Amino acid sequence: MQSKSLLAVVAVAAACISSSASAHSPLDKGRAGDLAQLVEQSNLVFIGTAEKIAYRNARGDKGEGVIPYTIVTYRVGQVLRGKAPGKEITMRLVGGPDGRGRFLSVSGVPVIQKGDQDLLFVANTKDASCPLVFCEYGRFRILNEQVFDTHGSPVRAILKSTVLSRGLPPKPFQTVQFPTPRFDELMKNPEVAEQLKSQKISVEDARRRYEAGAPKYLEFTEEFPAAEKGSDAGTEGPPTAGTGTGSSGPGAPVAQVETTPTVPAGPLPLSEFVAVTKRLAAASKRKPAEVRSVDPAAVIVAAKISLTVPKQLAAPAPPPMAPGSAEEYKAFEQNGYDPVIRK
Amino acid sequence: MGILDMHNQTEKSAMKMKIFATLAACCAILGVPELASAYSYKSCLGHAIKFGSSTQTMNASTVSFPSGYWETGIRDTVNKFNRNPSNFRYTISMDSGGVGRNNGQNEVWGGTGSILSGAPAIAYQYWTCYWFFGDHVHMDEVDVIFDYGTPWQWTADTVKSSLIRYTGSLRAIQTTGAHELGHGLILNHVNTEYNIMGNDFEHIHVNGSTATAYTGEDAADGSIFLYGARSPAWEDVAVVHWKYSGASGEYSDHTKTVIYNNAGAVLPTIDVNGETGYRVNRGQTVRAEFTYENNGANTQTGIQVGYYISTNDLITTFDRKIGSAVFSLSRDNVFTTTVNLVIPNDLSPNTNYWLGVIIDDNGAIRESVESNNATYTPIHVN
Repeated sequence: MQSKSLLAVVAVAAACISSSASAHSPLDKGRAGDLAQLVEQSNLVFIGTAEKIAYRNARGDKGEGVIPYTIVTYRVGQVLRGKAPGKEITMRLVGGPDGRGRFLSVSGVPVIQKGDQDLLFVANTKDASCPLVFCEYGRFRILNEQVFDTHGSPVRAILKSTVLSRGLPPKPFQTVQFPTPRFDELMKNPEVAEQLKSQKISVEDARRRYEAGAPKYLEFTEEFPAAEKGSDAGTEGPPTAGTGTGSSGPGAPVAQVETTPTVPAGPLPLSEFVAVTKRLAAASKRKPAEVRSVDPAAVIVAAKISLTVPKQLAAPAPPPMAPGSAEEYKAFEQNGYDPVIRK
Repeated sequence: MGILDMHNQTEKSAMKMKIFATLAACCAILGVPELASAYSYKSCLGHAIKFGSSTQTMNASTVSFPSGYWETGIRDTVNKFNRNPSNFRYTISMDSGGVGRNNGQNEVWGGTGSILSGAPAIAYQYWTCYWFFGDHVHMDEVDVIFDYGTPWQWTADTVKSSLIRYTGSLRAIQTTGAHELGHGLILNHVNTEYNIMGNDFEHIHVNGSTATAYTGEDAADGSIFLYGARSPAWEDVAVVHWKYSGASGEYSDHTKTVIYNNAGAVLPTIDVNGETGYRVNRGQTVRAEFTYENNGANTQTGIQVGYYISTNDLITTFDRKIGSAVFSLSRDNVFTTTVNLVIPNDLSPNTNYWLGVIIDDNGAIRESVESNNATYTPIHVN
């Protein structure tokens, strides 16, 4: 009885989880958030710690500036699927600092820092932008033996094989740090060179002061100013519901709630996440391909993005208009698409 | 480990109880409310990363957006994004030269190739942060690239019937474009409420045959936080038939609003011209759900909201009014709520109608955008 009940709950839960694609996720977001799909499409799944981080610039296509890349070397811990190339694996992701005070962030590509402990679903290290399955979806973060998604939201449950993560990232995941540019590199930034010129100080004097005064690293923070939201629009609060006319009346205003079932507070223990992943890996019929490290010293060829002509597709014919609709549509158009039409 | 992988047996039991308590309502309002207020941005050295100027030119490729349909579409996308209460505005310029990343220009184009693991669009964001006898932090460039390759199929217009989630199969350049333009403001993804920085193609205003992209309350709030409010104040209230339904990673998921019976159960559904309609009886009291937003600068009080029955999906004051309510709305949250309404006894049986809502139906608020003041949910009178 209990297992039947649980199955019923899960069936409802699964039905309530939408399947769609957000701006940076693959076609089927349900697929991207599906652990079974992550496992199936991965050639290597492992838990590792980012031990070495390097930043290098790729040359873009003609007319493009440099495209910074992050080269990360993980010490491989537990392997859950496939075979690691050794005790370490080196991978490359688009984005990072250019070493001269400028940074590239690409939507949908995770930022990995030295010391990060992650559970990674690796597809192909030869990918020009991101080696992970569905990129950001193929990385889970680990803190205190608990699992978070790539953006630091606690993973709360795995319903069937769909990962549910919710909520704000813990403090350690809200900041990332990059090395302060070396003086000589910073001077190659035209904006800085202009400042040096305007301050009328010698290069050597600037170097001495820079090396004494510059912060050791540049810290970026994901800001969640929820507490500040009340300060920018006067008095704010929930909508007040007045008295309706006739038999109608507004119900109590409700905040945004999710229609997926209640899930635990999370985060999910790593051991449970690993157990589910291993079970899914054991069930996979596809043999994972070999995964190799990239050469950290190799010339980076940035992803090519060719300019393309669009293809216009015909819209399905709208349903026939109800009698009298033409007059209303005409009045609506003449009223500047304002639905309040003075008769 | 069972099929439901949870923390431990105690929590599993508690979880089961909670779910069973609400099982009857299936996908109705069930879960625990999340943190509602939402927008998020990036800072470096304690300074928000933002453009030095609140007006930025976005150069659109004439190859990817040739004159006519596509150029009109991308211009419209930028114009729709600009319909927000902040000082920030993109101006659009058609660029017949080459486009590229990190070339000192904000650009938008469509491409094919190894863009990003099958993503429909991406934003390359370049910014500056360094210390040189003071902190220097600013946004430099955003390049928005749509994937014009398989499997994506785009529409650049506002025809509802083209769109996925309605009767078509195409994805709107305009909603995804608004999302990516939000990244240009360094607005991050948001997964805690209905908003454009979540699942963008389910963040859209619909009335009649037109589906319109818009920035929405949360991005409006974030843009004012970063760039200040424009003068004169931009006021805009809106109502949509979409609502928050949960999250996938850091993206909010959205679903259409529904109609409940007066006991709170979702009414039986039926297809009405390709959209989900709700079966109602004449004389039945129903709870009509819609989402109300204040996308403008200032709190609005005493907003008159009217509820209508229409014989088509275009809701205007030409339609028959069946109820009203008064709301106050502030720009600090998105509100999804229900209103009790009685289905008139004289409607024709076995007939489709549209239950409509018009916010500010007395036209009392001087708004910058009036076209987003009405929407509908299809119904079928048994």
